[in-house]
Amino acid sequence: MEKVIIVLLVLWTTRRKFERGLTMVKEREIVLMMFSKKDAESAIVSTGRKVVDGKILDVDRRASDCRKCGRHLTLENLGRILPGSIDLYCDDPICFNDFSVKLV
Amino acid sequence: MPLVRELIKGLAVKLGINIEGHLVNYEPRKDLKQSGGIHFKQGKGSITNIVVLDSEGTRELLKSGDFAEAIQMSSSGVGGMTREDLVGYDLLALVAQEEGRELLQRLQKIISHDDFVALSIAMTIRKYEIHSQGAKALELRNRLRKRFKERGNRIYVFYVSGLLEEFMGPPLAWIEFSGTITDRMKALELWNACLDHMDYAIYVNKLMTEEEIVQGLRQRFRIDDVPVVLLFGRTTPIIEKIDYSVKEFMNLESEHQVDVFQYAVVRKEYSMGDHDSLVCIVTRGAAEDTKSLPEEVDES
Repeated sequence: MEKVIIVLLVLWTTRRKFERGLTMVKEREIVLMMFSKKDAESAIVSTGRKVVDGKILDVDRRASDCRKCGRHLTLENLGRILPGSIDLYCDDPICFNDFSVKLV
Repeated sequence: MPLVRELIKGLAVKLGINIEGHLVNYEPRKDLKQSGGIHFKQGKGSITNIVVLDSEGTRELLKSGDFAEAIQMSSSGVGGMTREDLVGYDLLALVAQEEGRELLQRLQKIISHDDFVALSIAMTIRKYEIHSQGAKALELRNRLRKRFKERGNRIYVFYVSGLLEEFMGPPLAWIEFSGTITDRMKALELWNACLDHMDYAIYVNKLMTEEEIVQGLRQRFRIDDVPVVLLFGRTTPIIEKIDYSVKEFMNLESEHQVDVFQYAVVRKEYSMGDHDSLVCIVTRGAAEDTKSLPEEVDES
């Protein structure tokens, strides 16, 4: 039984290696664009949202929340603008991991 | 859809600026003659380039108007914006994740989303520790504990101590091969057992002797005064070692003249292919034959 499993494992590994050899190298680019606090407003406006009294409003004029922790977003605590449906995240560092795990 | 890199370059050309000069130069890219960004290669089939654009470059791009196009996610590229004081963390999180990608990909099929995010944060904290930024690591640990409570902290300890790799590695490798639902459920059960009973668990490895295991059990039951202790072990010789040690411990405990406890032992074996794991649950209860104190007689 053990020998059969070993043979199967070897065959499977060889097949995987063969398949990998045939496939092209898959390249992926992750681009992080830095923005400063003073550019936060123009960055928000470019996504179609609005800023009123420092608070960020969605297209339907509701207050925008951090996608992970649900905190109301202002120009002060805006941390990231990330893809999805252009989601906003606050400046809590660990909120980023909720997005980054999608890239695994 | 154009690649993120090409899109940004296109916008830059339109603006007449040289984007290359604005890339933050962490490490030279190895695949192209460009500079800036970090380059990863996983195996033969996959390369990930992490590129960081400085705030001055981003400001120029923002003026172009159709900047929202750059924030996109596809199989070939991801574009996002991050505040300049947070970029260090984000970059380190991505680096940690790329390095542990194989493990994460395997675990993704088994554990919950929250556990998965907590593990990703734990990996980032570990990166900070490796870079000797203890204060930042501590701050992040507190954040992790606040967000994910005690379970988050245990995931951190499980990962940082290397026990995750040691105990979950072989079952996960086997799942990659077999992929059955039963095996996945077993791995999830093992993951939960490791985390739920971490406080007083004993993780037995090759170097641990029988005496050390017995001593560990006695300390937990007699000094720490805990009701349940779990013993984790992998591979047949270690499982045999655990069985022997538990018997030895029971023998020693039966010699007690006072404070006699009864112990119940439950063995849970996780056999997946040629990988054997054992979780041995030792539970303490008061002995039935212990004499209770004589009741005071009310003489009135």
